[in-house]
Amino acid sequence: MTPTGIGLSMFTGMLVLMALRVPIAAAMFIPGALGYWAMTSEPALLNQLKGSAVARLTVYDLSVIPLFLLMGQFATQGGLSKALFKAAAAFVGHIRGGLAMASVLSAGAFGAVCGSSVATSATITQVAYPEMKAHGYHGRLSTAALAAGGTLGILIPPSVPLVVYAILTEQNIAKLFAAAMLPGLLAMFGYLVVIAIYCRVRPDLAQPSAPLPWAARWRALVGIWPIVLIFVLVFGGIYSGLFSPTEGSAVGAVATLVAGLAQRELDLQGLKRSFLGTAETSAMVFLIFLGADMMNASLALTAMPAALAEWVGHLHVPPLAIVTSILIFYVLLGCVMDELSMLLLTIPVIFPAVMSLDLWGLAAEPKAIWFGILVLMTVGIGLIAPPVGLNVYVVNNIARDVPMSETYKGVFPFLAWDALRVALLLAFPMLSLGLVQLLYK
Amino acid sequence: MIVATLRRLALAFALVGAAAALAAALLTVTSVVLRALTTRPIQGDVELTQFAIAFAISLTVPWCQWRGANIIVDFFTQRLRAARVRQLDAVGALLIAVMFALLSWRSGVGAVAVYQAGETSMIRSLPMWWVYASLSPGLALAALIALLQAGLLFQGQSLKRLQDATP
Repeated sequence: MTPTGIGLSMFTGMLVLMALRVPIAAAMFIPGALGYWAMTSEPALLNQLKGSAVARLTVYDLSVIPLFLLMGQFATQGGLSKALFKAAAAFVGHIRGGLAMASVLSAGAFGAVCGSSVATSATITQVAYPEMKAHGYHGRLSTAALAAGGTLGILIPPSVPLVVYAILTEQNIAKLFAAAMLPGLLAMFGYLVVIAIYCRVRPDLAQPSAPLPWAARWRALVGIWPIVLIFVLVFGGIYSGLFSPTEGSAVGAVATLVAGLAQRELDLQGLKRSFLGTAETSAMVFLIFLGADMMNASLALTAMPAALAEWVGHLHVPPLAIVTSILIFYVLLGCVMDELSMLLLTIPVIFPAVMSLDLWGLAAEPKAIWFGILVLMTVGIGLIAPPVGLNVYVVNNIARDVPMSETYKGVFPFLAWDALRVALLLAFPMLSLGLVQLLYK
Repeated sequence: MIVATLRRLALAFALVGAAAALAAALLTVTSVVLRALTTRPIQGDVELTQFAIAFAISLTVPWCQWRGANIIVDFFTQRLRAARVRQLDAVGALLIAVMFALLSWRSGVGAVAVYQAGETSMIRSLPMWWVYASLSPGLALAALIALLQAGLLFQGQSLKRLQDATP
């Protein structure tokens, strides 16, 4: 068989296995290994495998993933989300739809110490959904706001998918985090506007409640100091150059543990739950890495990614149209695949092609950073868009009395803002690059 | 009996793994503080963190497999009967068992090769074969668990009850 033939067979085999419920890690690993064997020899494959686990698991920059996951788990089990929601609800809860806004605000703040959207959605839903239900909020609005708000877990740094992108494209994690900050805040405030408009059009969805006295508001605000402190410590440390992102994630994990213990919220059971939650997700992420490594090593041997980059580079199509098509492809792919597998599988192939395009005359590094944020936002769409939005599953798993179809109906206005935001960032790269330039003059 | 033992082992591995990650975090924080105060960080903190995290992750794999936390695409098979889904999942478990077994076996062989070559780490001159060898047990246990799951699924049993048992 020709290298291209082998490459195509591997790719087809992988897609078939994936469609048949084979764990994605194995669906990439097994055809990848067979392809490697076919391209080289059995000893070469066995030799490659000797070091592949060590090579992947000892990457220093990747240590941020388990450590940020640990930090998010400590924050979850340490009851930090409760204080956040209480504070946000104290200030905006009395507006029509205000508790939904408070959910989005607290999800955004929680996203600043948690890099996973699933963890953010689950945590905030547990505290905010019962409140909204008690106040007579329609399930369509409450669950949709929670699912959309949950995406802020990855849109606002730290962000596991962004770390994965940084590793795959050899970009600076700290710069990518900085580039995500403004678009993330834009997402959050846009969701607030969406809720306000939604409640104006459909006043039956939410009831306003009595405002709290200012003294109570300030008291609730004081309760969120641990989160603020942890965020300032981690990101202040990273951007002042005091420590690297990996060290920052270690500082964050330890600080969140201390905060949880000091507030007497984190007991031995909570610690055990944090450990097991971290274990499950870390292994899941790294297994996908190991599978994708095998697949990508074989694909590289077939020279298909280089050929694709070459082909895209010579297309007579406006570069922005190509990027837009790639993003639309990601939205479609996100309908059936999770975000990490999607990135691990496609970025090694697509990234060189994107880098060969002239986009707004950007230099290589800003272009890579900008494209990373675009991909991140597109991935966020996949998390809430039907037919399979992971966040929608997570929220409905907790809010069991709301049918999933209701949530999907409610999610549309939020999706409209997501699409508009991607378009804005496509047109104005400075939305993400501005802060990077400011911090790294 | 075998089921309970494997489960207890997976749980213990996961807790030790997460504790190792936390230990790496504590080490890093100590080093950062020392560097800020005394300009003398812990020697080789980066490589120690790397090795601890690699070891930690390998230990978390069995628990992930036990819990069925691996990501799958269930979009195209939603309409299938439960029995057919279990057959597909049995094949999936078998394939991931092959992946785990291969990686565990080859990391072990890698350990022997690195031991014979006498390779050591850059800063603290730690013997590198330890790093390779430390990844084998977790992956081997994960392979065993995946095999057990494949067996149960082929017999038409559901894994739900096993997985949901509270730790």
